[in-house]
Amino acid sequence: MATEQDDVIAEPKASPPSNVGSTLKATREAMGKDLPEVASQLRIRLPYLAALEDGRHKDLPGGTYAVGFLRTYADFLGLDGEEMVRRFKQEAAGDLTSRAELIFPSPVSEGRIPGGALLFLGLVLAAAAYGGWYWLNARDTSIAEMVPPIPERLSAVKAPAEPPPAQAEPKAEEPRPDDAKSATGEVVPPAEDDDKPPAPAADARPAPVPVTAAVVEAAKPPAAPPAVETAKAEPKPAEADTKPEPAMASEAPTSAPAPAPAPAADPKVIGEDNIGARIVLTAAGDDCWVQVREMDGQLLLSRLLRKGDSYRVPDRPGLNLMVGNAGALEISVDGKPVPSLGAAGQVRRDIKLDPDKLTAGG
Amino acid sequence: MMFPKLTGLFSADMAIDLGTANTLVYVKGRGIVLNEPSVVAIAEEKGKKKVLAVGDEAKMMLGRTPGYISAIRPLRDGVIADFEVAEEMIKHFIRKVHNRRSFASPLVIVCVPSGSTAVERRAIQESAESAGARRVFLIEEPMAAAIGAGLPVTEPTGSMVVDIGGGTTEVAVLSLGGIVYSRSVRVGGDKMDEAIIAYIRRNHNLLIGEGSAERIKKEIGSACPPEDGEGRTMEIKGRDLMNGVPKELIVSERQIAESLAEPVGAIIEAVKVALEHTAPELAADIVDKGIVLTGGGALLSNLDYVLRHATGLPVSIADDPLSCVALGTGRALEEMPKLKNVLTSMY
Repeated sequence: MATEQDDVIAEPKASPPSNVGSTLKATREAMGKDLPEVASQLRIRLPYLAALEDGRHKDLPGGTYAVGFLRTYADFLGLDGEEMVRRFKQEAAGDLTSRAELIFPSPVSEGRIPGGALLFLGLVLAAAAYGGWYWLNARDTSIAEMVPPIPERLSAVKAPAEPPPAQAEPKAEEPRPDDAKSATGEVVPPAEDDDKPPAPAADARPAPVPVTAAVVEAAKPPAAPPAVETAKAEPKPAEADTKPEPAMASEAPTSAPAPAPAPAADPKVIGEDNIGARIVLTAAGDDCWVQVREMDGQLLLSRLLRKGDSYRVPDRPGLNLMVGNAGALEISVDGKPVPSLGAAGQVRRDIKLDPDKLTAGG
Repeated sequence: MMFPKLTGLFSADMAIDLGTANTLVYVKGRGIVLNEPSVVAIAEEKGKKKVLAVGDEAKMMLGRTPGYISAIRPLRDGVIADFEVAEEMIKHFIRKVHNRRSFASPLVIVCVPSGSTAVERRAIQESAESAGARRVFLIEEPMAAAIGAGLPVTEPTGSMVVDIGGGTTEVAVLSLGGIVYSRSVRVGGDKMDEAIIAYIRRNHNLLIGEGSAERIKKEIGSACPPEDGEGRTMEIKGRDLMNGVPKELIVSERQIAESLAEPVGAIIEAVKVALEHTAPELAADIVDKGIVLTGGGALLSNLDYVLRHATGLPVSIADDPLSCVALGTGRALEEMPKLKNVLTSMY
């Protein structure tokens, strides 16, 4: 035994290049044992022992086990187990991972949407819901306040250059001219039929519209539209055309935008068709924004009265006035001026358009 | 040298292998920094108990103390036997290892025997907490041992680990990151020492101390008698029971192997029972790769040989069996998020 061991220890020194596997093999053969015998004694499976001897590190089980087998085998052969293990680890540095990667099996997530995404989605939905609610609530007022000013601005932009508006206008209201033309033949008669504009027109026009005044005076209501046409060339047809419509609708607001494109320089009268208007609002001092509402809140007029423009308020009870520049607005009741509503630049709301009250002083 | 000190300032989390015989402390990023016997020497001064020494120093006092000092091993059979002393010991070790300059108290992972009861676990957790830990996690010893030995515990293949500690022997089959079967018997190094003491007293009428018994076990202890002859021999000293005088005696390896037959038999029995309870698929894996021995008991010579013949399975000893549990616990600390599910807490 002792001599054998001496030999064994001497052997690796004698042949330095020999690796762990060949050392094991040589020692085993020197002891005169064959591999199956060793395997049955050590209870290590034959393939593993063979792999150890042949240096096939890939065929060995995980690091700890391979090292354990080697130590057992080396001790069995009477070799220095620790020394062999050290050498083996050097040789198999790449193939064996002594520190096995530990990845614990974790349950698969149950297909829920991740919290972050869910939260984001919830926020978006909440925002959308709030937005929808807000929009629904604010729609009426916003439309009323937002829409009318647009034609106003357009007119303001287009006013300086006359030809473009002229072109633009007919285009914008193409259907109307057509209707109108087909109607124009009859325009005069309808106008006559209506018989509404004439009287107010006669009253109101002379003051703000000098040009038309003469015409109006000369040619009474029926002639009024044609007269305007002649006086104001192209744009007028639009005005003329629209008139029958408002007349039918008996609504001032619709007619209001139409005349807007008319030359800004010339003072004009809005709501000419309001027969028997007792109250007339005139932007005397400066441009002045006015809004007139019915008792039930329905919008009657909302526009900017250019300097000199006037509006004939329908003779109806319960109208409410809102004025953006109280000082610039001149109000007359039955042709008599009434006290001013306020200073220049002052905004006044909820003024009852009641002739008696206005006369009494707002 | 600078770097570990610097990182130590920020992370002083530690893993403690609170063993019956030895306590090992692993500090995150630094490895095992402390390995001392689990012994505390307590001095009583004017009715007040004070810790005199802990660890190696206290172990030297074991069995040699005057009346006012008592050297105590606060752990027995892998669990806390003396709560207050254990707390003092843990406190001492934490203080020794923990950087006092960092304000944060450390996170501590302590391993517990798999067979310990809820009360025993709670005792360990509470004493670690009152010793100044910020948060305490427990890990089962066999799992820590298997991780420390480098076994592929998370793979769908069975691994069997036998951890023979000072107080307990843990036999466990692990697969897919969990313990499939575990069995804990309260047989370990201490029981071997006791067996040696009992044997020598019975056969030679000589009384020896625990320290001497441990030394005998380490030097000439063997799980099976040598094939021929008496094997290695050793001189032992003790007190003669017949006439009460100190005496010297020579014991042989064969005698010690005889004395250790009972505890070794208990370990083999535990392994066999565990194998009996192993599912066939896992048993097939174990036949292929065998059993891995860890813990101080694995160093008992020929234990692998005895187990191999008793079970018919390949038996190998892990690298550095004494620190397997501490290394495994330390790895659980280092890879805390990944190994979270092997850690438990009593509350």
